[in-house]
Amino acid sequence: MLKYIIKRILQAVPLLLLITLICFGLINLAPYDAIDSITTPDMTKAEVEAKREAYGLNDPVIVQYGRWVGNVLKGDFGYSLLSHTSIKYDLKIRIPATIKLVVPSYLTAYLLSIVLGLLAGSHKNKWPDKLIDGMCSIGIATPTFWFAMIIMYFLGYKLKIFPLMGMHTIGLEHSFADFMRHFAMPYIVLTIGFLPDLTRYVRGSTISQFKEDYVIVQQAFGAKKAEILFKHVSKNVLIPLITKLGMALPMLVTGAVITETIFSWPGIGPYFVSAIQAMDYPIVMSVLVLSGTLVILGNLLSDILYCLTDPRIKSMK
Amino acid sequence: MKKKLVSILLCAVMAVTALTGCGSADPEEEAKSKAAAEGSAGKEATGTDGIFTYAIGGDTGNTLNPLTADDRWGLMTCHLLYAPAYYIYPDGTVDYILAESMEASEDGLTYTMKLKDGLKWSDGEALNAEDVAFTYDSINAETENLYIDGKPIQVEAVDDTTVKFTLPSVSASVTEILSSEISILPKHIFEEKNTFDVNMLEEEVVGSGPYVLEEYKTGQYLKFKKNSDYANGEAKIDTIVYRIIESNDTATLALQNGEIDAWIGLPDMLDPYQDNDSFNITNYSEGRVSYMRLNPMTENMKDKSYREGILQAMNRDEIMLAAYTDSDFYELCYSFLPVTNGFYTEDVEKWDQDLDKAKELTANGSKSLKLCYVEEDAVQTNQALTIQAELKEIGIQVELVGMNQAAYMKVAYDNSNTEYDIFLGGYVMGVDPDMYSMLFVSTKDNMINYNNKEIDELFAKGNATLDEAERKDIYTEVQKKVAEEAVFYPFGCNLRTLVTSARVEGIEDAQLVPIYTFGDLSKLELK
Repeated sequence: MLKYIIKRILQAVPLLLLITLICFGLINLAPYDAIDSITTPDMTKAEVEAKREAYGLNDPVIVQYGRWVGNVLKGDFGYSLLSHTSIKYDLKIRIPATIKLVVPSYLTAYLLSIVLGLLAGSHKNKWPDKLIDGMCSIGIATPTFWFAMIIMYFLGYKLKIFPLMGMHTIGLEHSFADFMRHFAMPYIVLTIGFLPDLTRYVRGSTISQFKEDYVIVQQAFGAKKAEILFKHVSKNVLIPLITKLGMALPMLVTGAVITETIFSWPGIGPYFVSAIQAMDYPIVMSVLVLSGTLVILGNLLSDILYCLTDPRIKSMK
Repeated sequence: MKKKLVSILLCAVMAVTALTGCGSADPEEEAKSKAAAEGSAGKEATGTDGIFTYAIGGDTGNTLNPLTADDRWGLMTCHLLYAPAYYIYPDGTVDYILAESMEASEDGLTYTMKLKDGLKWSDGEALNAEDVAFTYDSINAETENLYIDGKPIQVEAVDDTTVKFTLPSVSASVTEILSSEISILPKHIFEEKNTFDVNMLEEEVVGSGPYVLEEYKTGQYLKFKKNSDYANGEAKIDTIVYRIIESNDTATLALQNGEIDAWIGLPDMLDPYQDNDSFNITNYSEGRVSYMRLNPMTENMKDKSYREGILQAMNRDEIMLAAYTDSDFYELCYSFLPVTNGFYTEDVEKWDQDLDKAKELTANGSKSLKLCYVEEDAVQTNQALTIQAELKEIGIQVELVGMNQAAYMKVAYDNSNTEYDIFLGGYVMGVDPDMYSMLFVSTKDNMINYNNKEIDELFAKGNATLDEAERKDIYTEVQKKVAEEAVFYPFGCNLRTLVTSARVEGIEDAQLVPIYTFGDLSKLELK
């Protein structure tokens, strides 16, 4: 098994390099001069030239690429074209904010979806299934921004249970209770946003498991439905679900763009979107490298988890 | 397996209780936070004591450059942190802030500024004439906006409180030129720094404005506390917060909930505030002219008759109505000056809509154009859509390219840009017509991208005389010439609507002004 894991990790390395190569290629193709992200508008031409030399922008592309990868590995993503601040700074503040929102929401949706999916799948075409599946259809069809506004209107505005926006009340940055109040509404919106898709996935896979021969065998032996569901079917359903968990890794960066914007949550979403609108290439590329890397790492993670839970995988070479 | 599960669950429960424990440790905090959540639980929104929260539609970014800031949020921040020598209100009254007086010599070639005694920077250092001279010299080193006839105004610190400005020739607009948006900057900070960029996360911002920056939180807010050394007297409100709220839907609910105190309302979102005692609505004119300009640098727009065709496909009223929903919120205008300006004339080529003529004139030109506008501005978005529809009538397809404010500035003020054929925009320039020379004079910022010697000369002539009647003739001529070029097409002037919660008082004393909203925030009060 260890051999398989090492093999997968080694396979991921060239992929990661490819991602950085593509991103760097795109940066170089982009219609802007990298010096713009270092200089300020009040520098003279000579100063700009000196900076260009100092930052090695006159070096061959391959040397620049090496240096860029080195910097990215150190966590240095360069400077925003517009605000001239270190992107590292912004990411350091914004990524944790997004993670704080996305991780609890995704995990809640994940756990809920297992329960609801199994319930629906095991009652195929009966009322619990129709209800859950119907709700999922509505959920998938509902735009997040609309749902967010509805939640905000009722819980925040009409009933005044939660504050409407932001992550903290100003001056209460260290209060956990205050954070939870701000957190509640975006959390509900995101959880409900993630839920339908996951539930459908579990439901589909439960239904297909119920068609398997081993279920018929169990039924022939007179096993109870609950026994079949929890002892046998659920185990087989959960394995593919692990893949979903790994695949969700990039959401840590880009999982809540719309929700964050509506609730003025200072996460990576609004930052990324406004960088795209502002054609602030260094920021766009940094976020792309990050989320691209997370896609690969997520795949790697789900492969490894899959292999750990289902020993049959490692024998398939 | 079961044991493991139970232990994991127990750990989780412990963690949650521990965290909740920390959170509710401080009952005072709890109450404060709850009050914020519930808008003080009452029916009337009351906000937080001693804090005035103003919603702004975008982030300033971590870096503030008081010398080159040109976007609304950046300028609003500078207006709180730095003070100008004096400020001229739209009605012409002069509010002396750092300066005590500004006097002209008889020949109109020398101006002497006297500073108030005992001025201080927020770090305690003395503010003197050297700082003033340093600021104007730095501006002259960068742009020609303070030039008269191609020569800079010479600035000299005579003694600690006296600054002498020597003009190369007579200029009618010089007092306004020297005041507009110029924050006096601390020499002792910026001289060694070599850049005017200030990192608001790391550096202390040293200024002389009514407030000092207490905290900048990326993507969340800017918090200011009052500056007790402010030249015009300590501010009445202790703390001011610029809260960043990008979505207008969120901002209006936050205002109704008491989480913010003021917001610039959109005409179609004012219903909840009409006839509501908890809020005040104030409409005011910024003297802002919104416009469309054709980019003469692109291949498509080089031909003047093609440009004329495009303008004749337009219908001003339709465009403004789409943007402001009701004619109560705007006034059409036909020249680059706002209707309220004393020099404004309608005796210019108006390019009234004539579709047949438009079709004929554009028959041989390009059938597809690109239009660049500010995406987060709902007004511009509606204008862009209307223009797209109007040009479709004459068989021209328009691709709309929306960008955020900062990106738009970068593209729109690049006069060599050939990517976009049409730009939407708006400007607030000032009182004296010479202030508008920045838009059209090829040696200045030239924001509208004109390269017409005749217009350059007329503007120079208008500023070189102090005779009102002669100036009037000259500026009427300029307005005609600008319109004839078929590059610039003004739509009209809009009114801006400020909605404040009832606890905000002193708006009349603070005065509503272009760009910054409040002329002097130190005079605003909370009930």
